Amino acid sequence: MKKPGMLGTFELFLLLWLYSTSTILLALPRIYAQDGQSALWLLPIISYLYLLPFIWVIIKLRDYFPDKILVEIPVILFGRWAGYLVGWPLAFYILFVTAMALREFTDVVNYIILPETPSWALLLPFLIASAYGAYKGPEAISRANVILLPLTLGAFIFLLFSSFTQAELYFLAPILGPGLDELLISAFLRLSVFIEVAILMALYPNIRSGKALRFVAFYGMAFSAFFMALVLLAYGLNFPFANTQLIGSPLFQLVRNINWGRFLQNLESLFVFTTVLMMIIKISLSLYIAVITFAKTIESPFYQPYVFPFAFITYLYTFMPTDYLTAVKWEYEFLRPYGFISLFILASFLLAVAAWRKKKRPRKKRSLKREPTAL
Amino acid sequence: MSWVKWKKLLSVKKPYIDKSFSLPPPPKKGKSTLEEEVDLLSLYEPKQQPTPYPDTKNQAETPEDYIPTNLSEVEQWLDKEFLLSLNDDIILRPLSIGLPKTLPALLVYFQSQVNNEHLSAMVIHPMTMELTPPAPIPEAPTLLELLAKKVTSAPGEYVILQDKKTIVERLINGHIVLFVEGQSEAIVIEGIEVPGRSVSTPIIESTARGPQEGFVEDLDTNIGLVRARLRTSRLVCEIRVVGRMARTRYCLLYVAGLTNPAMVEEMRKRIQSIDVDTVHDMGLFEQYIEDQSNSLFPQHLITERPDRVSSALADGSMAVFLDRSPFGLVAPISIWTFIHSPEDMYLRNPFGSFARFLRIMSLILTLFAPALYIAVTSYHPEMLPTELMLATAGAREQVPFPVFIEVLFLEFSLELIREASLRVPQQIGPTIGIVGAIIIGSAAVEAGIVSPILVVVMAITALASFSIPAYTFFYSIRILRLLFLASAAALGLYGLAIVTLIVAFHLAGVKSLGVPLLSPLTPSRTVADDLIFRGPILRQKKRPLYIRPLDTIRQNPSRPPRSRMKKQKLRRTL
Repeated sequence: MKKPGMLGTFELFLLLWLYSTSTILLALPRIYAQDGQSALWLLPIISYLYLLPFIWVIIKLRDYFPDKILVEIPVILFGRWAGYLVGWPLAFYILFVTAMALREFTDVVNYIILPETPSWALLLPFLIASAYGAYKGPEAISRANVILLPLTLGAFIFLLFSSFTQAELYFLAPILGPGLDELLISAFLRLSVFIEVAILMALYPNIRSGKALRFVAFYGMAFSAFFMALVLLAYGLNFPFANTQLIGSPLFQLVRNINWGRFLQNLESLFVFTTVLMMIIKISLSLYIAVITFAKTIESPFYQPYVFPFAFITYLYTFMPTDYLTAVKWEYEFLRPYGFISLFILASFLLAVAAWRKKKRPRKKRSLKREPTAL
Repeated sequence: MSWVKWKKLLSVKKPYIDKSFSLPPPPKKGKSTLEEEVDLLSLYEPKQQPTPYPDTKNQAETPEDYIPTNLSEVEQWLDKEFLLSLNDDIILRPLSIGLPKTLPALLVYFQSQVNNEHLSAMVIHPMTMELTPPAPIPEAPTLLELLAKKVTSAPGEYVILQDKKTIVERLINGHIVLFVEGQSEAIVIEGIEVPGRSVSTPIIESTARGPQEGFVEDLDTNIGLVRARLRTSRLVCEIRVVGRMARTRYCLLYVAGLTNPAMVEEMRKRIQSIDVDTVHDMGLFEQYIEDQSNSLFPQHLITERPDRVSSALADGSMAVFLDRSPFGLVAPISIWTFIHSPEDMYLRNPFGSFARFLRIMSLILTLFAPALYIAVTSYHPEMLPTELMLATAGAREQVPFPVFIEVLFLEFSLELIREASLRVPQQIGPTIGIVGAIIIGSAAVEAGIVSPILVVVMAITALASFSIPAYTFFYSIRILRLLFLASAAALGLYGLAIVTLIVAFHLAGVKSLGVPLLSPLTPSRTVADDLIFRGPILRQKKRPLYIRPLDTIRQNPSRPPRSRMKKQKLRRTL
């Protein structure tokens, strides 16, 4: 396998921010409004606290296997069969989740700015761009993310400032929504919203050091949670939560509210521009992770040949849900929760076995951290 | 198809250039390599020894490879080698050397490459005169050395050679060769003078402030222009030849102790891998050595300004000059180099930064303005305020074509004007501009082919594109603009975003001699306050770290504070 390119801490931080925050562009506010009501903006912050053990597992696992991705670890610990057992389902699971996000996004674009264009025609160039990004690898994806940051992060900040001008404070009352106990339970049940942090396990070889990973995982996710909370707060200040549950694409609704005078209104099309950029980066990275997982599972020296076939499979998967709401339901009720549980259990189990094996080793072979393949 | 053919089809050939070269960090050192005594030769010594130029080594292997001692045999050999009966450019001039005892000799040179006056005054005249004192001097043990040291007064270097290959090599490079009867060696004297223009003002990269001299076609003059600006003993100039047939001289310039040795080695490797008949110009040369020759983005800076080259060398980059090309190549660079102009540094910080800001705005405008116009008018008219939307629609009422065709028509016209003004003689250049302006500005609008608002948009776009200082980058922008236009016409802002990201992905993977083109922004490196905007000159203490120089400090970090006159003293002085 070709030596992977390294991602800088700054690039990885921003990549994780974009990857996890982009869920808010789709149906997430709607889901949060159902659970947290007027306190929807508190949910990501509480969920982040629950997420800390998972982040710890991710960081510790890299200490044992710094140049391996998640699917390579079972091979080292148990043998080739374990790699197949984990790798194949994981690769296709990632593809399926990617396809659901893609479907939701295409439907939103179709509904908002290009109602006359068929979905398949919207999807095709989108997926080609994403496949190209995946082909170029995480280095190129993260760098493209950095140079387009003024457009993506800038658009969000503009959205926040613009929406606060028309805020109605009483929309946030009661401040704890359904009550603290309900909030704590809902945040725990919606922990899978942050399943995106698991991408770090596929980027272990691209991360410079354990210190960088620790910084990115803890602070990057904290920043994402904080950012999501801010956007949700802006949303909560503009619309009553009861209506949110009925809106397909809540954030676009928020953009429609922007009115800075004659020249700055009806900006949803411009916001779509930013959203497309964010989503392509996200889908590219998802596609890359699916493909690298597959390539490592079958011990292929290159991942690039599988990018376009996998993109085609994603394209086909995208049409499996009958409509937008079905895709949302599949994603938030099945794929994310069960995926999160499976990944958490798998990562914790691998970490426990790695730690146990290290303990069992005689003293002279305890250089496990330095030479991961010694396992 | 046989199996062998299938195998060929499926096999992957190793690229002759290591495309995956990444610039490694410089070797660890304690003190400045520029100031301290370090073994620089071991750092920069080429791993693979190239053929030196001019070749002074004896290449003869068999007795047939040595020159004959008899002059008539020499003539026969030269006739065979240079086809003397057909080749009128080569001159064989017999002469008698005026030693105490007269000796027949033969002077051979190419008429087109040697200055006749110089030849007569420095070589022929002294040779034919009687030598005084007649006895050989102690430091000249042989006759040829005596002639070379005592008789000729040519200022260039001389060598005494005996193998045919090297002598031929020297002759075709403009040297004068003197064969003496009975001698198994020949004196080779430098006497080249190739006609060319003198140093003049830069044509493409002209500036209001700063030096007003540009490179010319002569390699030595160009090296001299750089050396005049960097008078350091560490400025190394490796002169070699490229091209099997043309044997064109090139020079690789770098500052030893500053430029990263891995980069120098990689550049040498890439140049030596060029195996073609001729390399006529720097444009061709560049394509042979760049990381991705099919990319839309240039990966080297091609400049005609000596100050720009010397500034890059002082930062730790490398430069290459090719004989008969009035451009220098600078590598590695970053994409921000293309929006920098040398003038930015010659002006004070606010002015330089303002010029850069203007250029960045121009870049964004020229890339996206026509595409945004198409996207907004065709797909998202709700974005416009009602009055503007009505005005745009009203202006377009008379136009029978879709917006895309309108834009394409204007774009094509502008490209035509640009292309035509490059080809026509300079005297009628302005006429082309006037004709173009009349056609586009008024006739096309009156004829109802394009709308007046679009003419305004395209005029601003064209003006903005001319503000980009790098000529090669200007081509990239033109093509990218067309791509953005097509995407916006196909899917509006959605399509535009998709193509923008494809371009960004591509750009993120492009490298200039192992250095990512987007650095120092990403991967992020120290930039010494000179990236998009230029900082105050006193804050630019470090060299750009993305090219990984061996010495990172550019100016004294502990600069003593300037002496300040006290108010009282100042008053008294006034």
